Amino acid sequence: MTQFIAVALIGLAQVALIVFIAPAVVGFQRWFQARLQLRKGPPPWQPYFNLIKLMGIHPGLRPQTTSWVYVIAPPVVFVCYALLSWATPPFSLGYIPLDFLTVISLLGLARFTLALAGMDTATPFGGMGSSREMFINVLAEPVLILIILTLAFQRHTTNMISIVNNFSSLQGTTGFVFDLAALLLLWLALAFVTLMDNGFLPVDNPSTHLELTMIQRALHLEYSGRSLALIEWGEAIRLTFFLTLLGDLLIPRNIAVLPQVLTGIQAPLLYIIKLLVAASLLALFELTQVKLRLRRIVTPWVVALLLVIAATFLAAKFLISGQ
Amino acid sequence: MLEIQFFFWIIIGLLGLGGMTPLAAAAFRSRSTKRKDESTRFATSTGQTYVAKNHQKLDCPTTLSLWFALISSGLTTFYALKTLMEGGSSSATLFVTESFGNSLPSFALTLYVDRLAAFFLLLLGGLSIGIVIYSFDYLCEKADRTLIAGGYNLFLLSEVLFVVANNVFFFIVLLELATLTCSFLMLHKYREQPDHLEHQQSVKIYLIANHIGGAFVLAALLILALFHNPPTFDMSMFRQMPNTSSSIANNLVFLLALIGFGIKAGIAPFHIWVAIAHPSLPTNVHAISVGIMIKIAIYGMIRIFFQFFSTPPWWWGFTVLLIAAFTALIGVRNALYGRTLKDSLADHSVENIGIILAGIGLALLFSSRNFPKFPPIHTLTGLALVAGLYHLLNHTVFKGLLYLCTGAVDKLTSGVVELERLGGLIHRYRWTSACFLVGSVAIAGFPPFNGFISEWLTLQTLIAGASLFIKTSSLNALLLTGMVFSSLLLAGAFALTALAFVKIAGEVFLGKPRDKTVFEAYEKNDVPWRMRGVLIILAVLCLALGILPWPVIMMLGKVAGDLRFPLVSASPFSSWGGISINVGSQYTAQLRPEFLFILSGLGLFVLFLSLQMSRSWNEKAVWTTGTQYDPERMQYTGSAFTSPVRDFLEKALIAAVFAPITSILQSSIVKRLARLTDQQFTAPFDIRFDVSEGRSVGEPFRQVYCLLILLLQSASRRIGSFFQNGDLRSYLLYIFLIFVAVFIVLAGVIR
Repeated sequence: MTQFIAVALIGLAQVALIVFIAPAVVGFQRWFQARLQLRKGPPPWQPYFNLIKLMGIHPGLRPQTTSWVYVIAPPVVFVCYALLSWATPPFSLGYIPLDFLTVISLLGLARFTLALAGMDTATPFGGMGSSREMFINVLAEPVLILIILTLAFQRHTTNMISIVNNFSSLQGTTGFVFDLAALLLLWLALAFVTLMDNGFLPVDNPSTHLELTMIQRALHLEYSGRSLALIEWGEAIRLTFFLTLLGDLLIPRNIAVLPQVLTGIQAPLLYIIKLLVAASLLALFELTQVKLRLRRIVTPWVVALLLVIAATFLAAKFLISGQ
Repeated sequence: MLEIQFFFWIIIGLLGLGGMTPLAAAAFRSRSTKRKDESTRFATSTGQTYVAKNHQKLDCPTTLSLWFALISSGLTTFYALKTLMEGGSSSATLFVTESFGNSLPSFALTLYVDRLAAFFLLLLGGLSIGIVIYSFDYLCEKADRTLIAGGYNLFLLSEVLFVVANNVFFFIVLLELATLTCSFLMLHKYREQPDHLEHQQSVKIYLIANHIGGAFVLAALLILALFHNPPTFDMSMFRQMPNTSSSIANNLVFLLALIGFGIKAGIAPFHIWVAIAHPSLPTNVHAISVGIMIKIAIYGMIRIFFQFFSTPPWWWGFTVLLIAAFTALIGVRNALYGRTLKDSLADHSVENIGIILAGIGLALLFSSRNFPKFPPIHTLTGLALVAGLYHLLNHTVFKGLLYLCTGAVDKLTSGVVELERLGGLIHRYRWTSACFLVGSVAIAGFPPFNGFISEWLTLQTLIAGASLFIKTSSLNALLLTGMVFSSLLLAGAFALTALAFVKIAGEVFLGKPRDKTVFEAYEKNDVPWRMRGVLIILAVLCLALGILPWPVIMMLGKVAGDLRFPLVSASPFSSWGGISINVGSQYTAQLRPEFLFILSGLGLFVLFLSLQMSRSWNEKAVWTTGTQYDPERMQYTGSAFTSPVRDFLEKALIAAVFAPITSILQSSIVKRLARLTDQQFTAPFDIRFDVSEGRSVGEPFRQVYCLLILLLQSASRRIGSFFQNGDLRSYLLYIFLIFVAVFIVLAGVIR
């Protein structure tokens, strides 16, 4: 029992850590992108100020048309996204096994609730936002499932902690090349899903102020004060989760080239470096993109789908299965 | 055994009485009912005089027959639970027709109750208890309530007996009896609006589809009975000596049974009747017909595929899996076009049948004889069966909940179920709306509700199976491609369900009314407490099955164990619950639903309190960029909501699916068939839901039925023109041959 409590406490501490650094990740990405565009940009810690300001605003505003669905949506969204940080803790000390399918359903639940809240406002923009958001979800989910299938081929589990901690089990054998190729293709597909899920270009423009082009932002339109803070914070956690996952897939926690398992200060340091690199790459990529029309997203999506299908067949080592 | 015999005679007696009383009463009072019916309709059409109907009491025959149904469904539930707990199997003979010796099979109504039958009896009885309690209030305003109550009793009787029937003859008879009693209930809408032709049409479609299905099942079972050694109608013989040879007969039985039961379950491409026929049922019966009746076909498949054959070839399970994944996607895609609440939910049943069948298909695949060198694959069979059965149970619970909510909406709005006319019901009917929202989250497969558990299990089994297959050398490209493809389709179906239910729940319950004039006429208060209670209990059940899955999985594991596939690859994660999958240490996965629930519940509680503290929300008018707010015109409609995804799906499906189907149907063979029968290549029935000008949702699938009917017609015409040639001498020859045959049979009997 004491062991269980210890595990739970360490787990909680890790969740708290990710939840508190999440706004900084978003802030860093925006700051870096601004610098790349030769703008000064708000400092990386600006999101904290925004959140503090929003948290202080009460009572909230609420359209007359809404019901309790609108009220409970922000806490549900926040809790779902906060649970994601159980899945990929920065240090693999105490953790609760969460599997990738659960992670997807948590992501889905958050979107579902927010989309319902969008319908609840009875405004044109609310409905529009939830329609588009669910459409993006329809595209993203099959790709994610195939990513899970491919990872299961390599790691023989869907458990998140085994996925982020270890590399392919076939390291050193002839099949390793296939695994590596599959991993790279899968990583590209996952990167595209990250853009889709978090509302980045070319799918959605996070800094737009034109309601007609909004996807995720259209669902935030009616919210204010503490509710808005919860949603924005939650989405920052989601971005952090995806960046963590992307970093850990390419450079796993326990690197084989190192003589022993990372200890002490090294593990968190590596984690933070990976996060920052991922956020900078995201900022770089965003510079080169323009927003696509909603229905044109299907074209890059098909590419992502083909990539992950190719990854699946590579990981199955279908070509060398005769051996 | 005396006990089981006694029990089923009681059930037959109760339900028979329950069926007969109101039918007899209705026959006497038909004239007065008709008059009352007309007066209600007059009041509705004028619109102005419409007032909230008073809750009149049910008349005596209806109440009586509902009580009969309630008692017998309670008994069924009790008996089913007892069998599930104690295990074992019991059989009995209700009556035997005169024996004809060895040369003719016996027509004895024998019963056989094992855990599988008990599981279906439990679903049937359990849901039926809820529905009957609900019906006490629901039926008050129906003009033909006596007929509905009576028909419901008979329907229940035929379903219960079908599940336990152990004789090929009665198996078929009871299957068809269920079809007929259901079509009798389907006449309800026609009785309400006799001038609407489409209601009559829908019953016709239902009968056509189900009789075609019944014919296939009959053929399958007859082949099974004739090729068994010795030929027998007794299903216990099939069970004791499962057929192991891979002869053509066995494969034929598989295909015929798959198509036959598939039509009855509504698998693609035979699914279109589900959404056309079912909405004609009174909504309370609709819940059980969709909740149970289409799954009875799944019961038939499990019985035949898993018990009558011991080692199926791999392509059986593979076919079922592919069809299942395709069904799931097509079902949810059709639901996007649904005009009324009932249509859309009926299409979602098709989708869920697909998910259930995916589990069954996987089990069939893993139990195949083609993978003998790799034992872990076989241990997955039990898990796959459990996944399928778990989703079956879940679908009964949440679809029952959603249909009963639809019934409540139907009653509250006095018959308005068109999606685009509803809206904003949450502000007036809190309980119904909350229950519907719970059902929506459950069916969309999100934690902490039950849909999540079974979808998780199904996907895990698929992934585990695929990742074990790639280690065997017997992997072939087709198998891998099929599994990847079906996981893709299933994932698409899950995501589309979420979208569809945001649309349905958002359109009906959230926001503002889309048709204010109708909204004024609605009831002012929520449904009466008996209906509300049933809804709440089902919603709580959705939650309970989602948080504490392990006891249910254990029970279903025993059901699968009775079918020779014990659940060995899954165990509880800890004493707290949870599921841990471990397939021969080659694949692992864990699920902690109770943990997730506690954590998220705690988090939600804290956050909600903090919101509650700053509770004094300022309500402001909706911001509409400065123009005047007009919810009737400004809100997103369902068609606008689904427009991007429909466009995307149509393009994908036309390229991948519809074009091939259409090209097959327009091929020369089909055209020659059409010429042979002098028939225009036209449908036996019309399809609604136009996608665009001149193209409708179900067109290719409607043509599938056309093809079946054409084949049937041409075959019967050929046979007919050969035998019925109008020559007197040939008819005399037939009589002579019959005599000879009778003598031969009698000789066998006497000997």
